[in-house]
Amino acid sequence: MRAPQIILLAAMVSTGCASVGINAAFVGTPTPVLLGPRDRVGVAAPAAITKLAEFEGEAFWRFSQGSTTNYATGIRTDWSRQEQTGQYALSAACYKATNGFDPALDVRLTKVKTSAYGNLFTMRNYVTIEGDVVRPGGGR
Amino acid sequence: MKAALVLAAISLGCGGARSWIIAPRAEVPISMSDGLRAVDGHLLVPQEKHVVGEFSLDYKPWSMLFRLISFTGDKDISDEVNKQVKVAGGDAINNLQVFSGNCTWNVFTLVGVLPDCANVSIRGDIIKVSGNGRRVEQAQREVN
Repeated sequence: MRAPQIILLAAMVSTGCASVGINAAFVGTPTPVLLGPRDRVGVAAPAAITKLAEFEGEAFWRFSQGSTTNYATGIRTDWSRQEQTGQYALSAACYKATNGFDPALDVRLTKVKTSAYGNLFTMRNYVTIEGDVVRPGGGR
Repeated sequence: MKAALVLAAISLGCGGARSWIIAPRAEVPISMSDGLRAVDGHLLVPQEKHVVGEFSLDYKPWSMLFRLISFTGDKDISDEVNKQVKVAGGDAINNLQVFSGNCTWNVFTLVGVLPDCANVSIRGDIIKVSGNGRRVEQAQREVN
């Protein structure tokens, strides 16, 4: 196999699996957090709504690594740092935005953005969520 | 020296990709939480929701030039939602989760200029609503 073919194959393989990342979920949230036009099961026409506030939430996973050297002692220290939002981060944001999961309110999503990037020293993954807190006409 | 310069250049830029998930033509409600409303607007209780399948969609968004140019852009999942819910015989999608992960290629893209990718997985429960979405308590009252 020639070098260009090997490089091409390596590039193709490298676009494949990578197990690191972040999972964005509204764990244990009773408030409807809706993506798309349908707001009730079995009903095509959306209910009239009143927008009350805006909603923002983010789930992320970040990793960075590097090294520092003390030139006086010559001691090199490798370091790495990993941080991520907890599994209830989005639920907590929703709880706050809906006055404690007010059953009369919904969240209508306007943006679900995924972003992943990195280089030799850092990897970052984000799921950014934005929307409106609304009071649907049929809510109780 | 040259190697150090290349390493420094690579470390300055970040490759990656981003996308926006949309579902403007979905024919069923899609909820990222456990909450869904019935026809009359009441919140469905767990007894009214029955999981009949799993919604699953994986894709690979692509971008280049420090993610400024997104080839994927808006990822419309409407068709896939309609298709999978219909096959499963469901009424809605509950607990939709979005996973965003890196590609190994992120490490090799030259200072973020080259096309680069990411991994996105979307999962959710396809549910069937029983009793036409009536409250269980209300149905019990009617029985009594």
